[in-house]
Amino acid sequence: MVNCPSCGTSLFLKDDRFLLAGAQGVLHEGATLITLGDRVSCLGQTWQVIGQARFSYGRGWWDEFWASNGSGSTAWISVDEGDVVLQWPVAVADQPTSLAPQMLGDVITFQGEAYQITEIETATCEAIRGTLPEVLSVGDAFRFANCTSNDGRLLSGEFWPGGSAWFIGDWIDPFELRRVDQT
Amino acid sequence: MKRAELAQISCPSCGAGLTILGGGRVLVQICGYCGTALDAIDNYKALQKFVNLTRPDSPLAIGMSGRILAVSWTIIGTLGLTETDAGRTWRWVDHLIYSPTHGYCWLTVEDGHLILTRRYRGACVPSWLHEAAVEAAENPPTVRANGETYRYYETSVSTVTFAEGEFTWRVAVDDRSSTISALAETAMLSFTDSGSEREVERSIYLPQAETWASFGVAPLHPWGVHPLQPFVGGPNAGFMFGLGAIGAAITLALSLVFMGMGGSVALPKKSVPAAELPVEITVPISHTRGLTTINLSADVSNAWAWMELALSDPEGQPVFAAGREVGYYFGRDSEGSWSEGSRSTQLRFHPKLAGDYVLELDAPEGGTGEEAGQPYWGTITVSVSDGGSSPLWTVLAALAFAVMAAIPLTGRILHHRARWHGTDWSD
Repeated sequence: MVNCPSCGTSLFLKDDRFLLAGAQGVLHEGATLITLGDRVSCLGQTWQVIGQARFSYGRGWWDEFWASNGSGSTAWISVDEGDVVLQWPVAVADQPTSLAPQMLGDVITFQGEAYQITEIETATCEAIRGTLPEVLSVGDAFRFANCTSNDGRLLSGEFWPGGSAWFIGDWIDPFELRRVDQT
Repeated sequence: MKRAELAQISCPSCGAGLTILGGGRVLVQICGYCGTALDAIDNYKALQKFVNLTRPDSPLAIGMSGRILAVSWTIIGTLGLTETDAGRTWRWVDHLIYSPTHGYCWLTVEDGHLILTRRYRGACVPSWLHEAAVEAAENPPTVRANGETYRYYETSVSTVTFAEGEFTWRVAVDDRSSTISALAETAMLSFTDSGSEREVERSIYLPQAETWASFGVAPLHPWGVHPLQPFVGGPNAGFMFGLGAIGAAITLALSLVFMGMGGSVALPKKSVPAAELPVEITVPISHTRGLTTINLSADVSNAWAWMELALSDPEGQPVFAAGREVGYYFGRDSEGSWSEGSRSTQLRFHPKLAGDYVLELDAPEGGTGEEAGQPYWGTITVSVSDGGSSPLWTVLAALAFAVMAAIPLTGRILHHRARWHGTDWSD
């Protein structure tokens, strides 16, 4: 999925054709830890931020940045008021068996490790920029759950009618996330 | 991140204008004028009211901004907290600070010290410190985190006595939480259980003057040593330690050299039976540079001997007269073999003339107890060396240098003790 910076139109690529996906939405101005186009280093790797999706959770919002590390690996960097997480999609075959989380405190088993559900919310897509690996539309809403393991890893699930996606990753200290041109 | 359009509200209870300084995760705002808690996610409806609260003493206030760890922060909330244990009460103030890029932290003012506390999301081994595990432990429990080892410090229960401003959870006056803390060299980990939430936090000691100044506040004079406070030596501490350590090493090496310079033999070992005492022995001394050493020994066993000696120089002038006691005891008791004392003794002097000296030697007393004994009945052995060296002065100098090196170390040790003074762990 790509976004046209000139006309604000979002397009997605299907069968070698660009199809209209909708408007790109509005990104409110404000200080952010990283921005689209930045090169950032964290956990020993350097990432090029190539896409951004902003999600609302009512009173506030957070950003999901789609990033590539130059060796073909891509990941999501989630930034929410100093809470920063680097996550990778979990292959369908490896996903937890439970399709949707039940309630806070429930335990999900993933790759033999227990993850406790610490957050369940509904998010709404507010704006999209750059290149993203999936089709998102402004106004799309979905439920998500964050699950934490004893050693601090974060397993996140996104749920919508007829589907789900899981992501696994680690918290990053915002003081250890640096723009490469700053180091 | 909060929405940009939110900036100020009016308290629905008292009408006071309240500035919104925090981000999107703020759940409650407590009016500083009337104490009404407002629901930040439901149109600032009044939730409850806290009255007759005593504002805690802190030079920091909501709305102040400053820089910490190279990031700009704004104070958005203030909590007064207290802990009471064994008749003593501790009070401190936690200011919730907010940065749009780095989130929320606590800036604590405790006894005039400034502490920064942030949520810790890294791995801990073990992942949690349980009160029951602490109570059952024989040694202070430890936690490994971020390459550091944290040792158990204390278990505390704190109570909220005052709240004003914005908070990311529904705080209420009289809220209680239990915290187990563990201390490392530069940071403290806190395992806090509020009943509804568990959180691990990491605290550090901030550069005090720099932080106060960035908030535009005159520095407080801290009282006592805070557990997180780093040791700051005097301006010459490093120099004193270095000079003392190097000086001690050099003088100690010189002492070993001097000890090895035993001199040359002036009188080989000569045994004199008690029956031949008193006796005059001629000692040919050829070296006037260096020390002459007279070695005396007596073959005492579970007994003592008192020896008297007088020395005359080659011109017949007395050099000195002196007495020496030796005693040697040994045996076996329930703990095994033991021994004490020595069979030998020494005298050193600096001869001014070379030539034949005359040593008069006697052993008028000896015995097996403390009381005055009979004339000594064994054998005295005497030998003399000249041109030797004594390590006495270099050993004394080594001790002086060692003391110089120890002074800064002592300050560090005393500081370490003061940091751990507040621990509730007792062996």
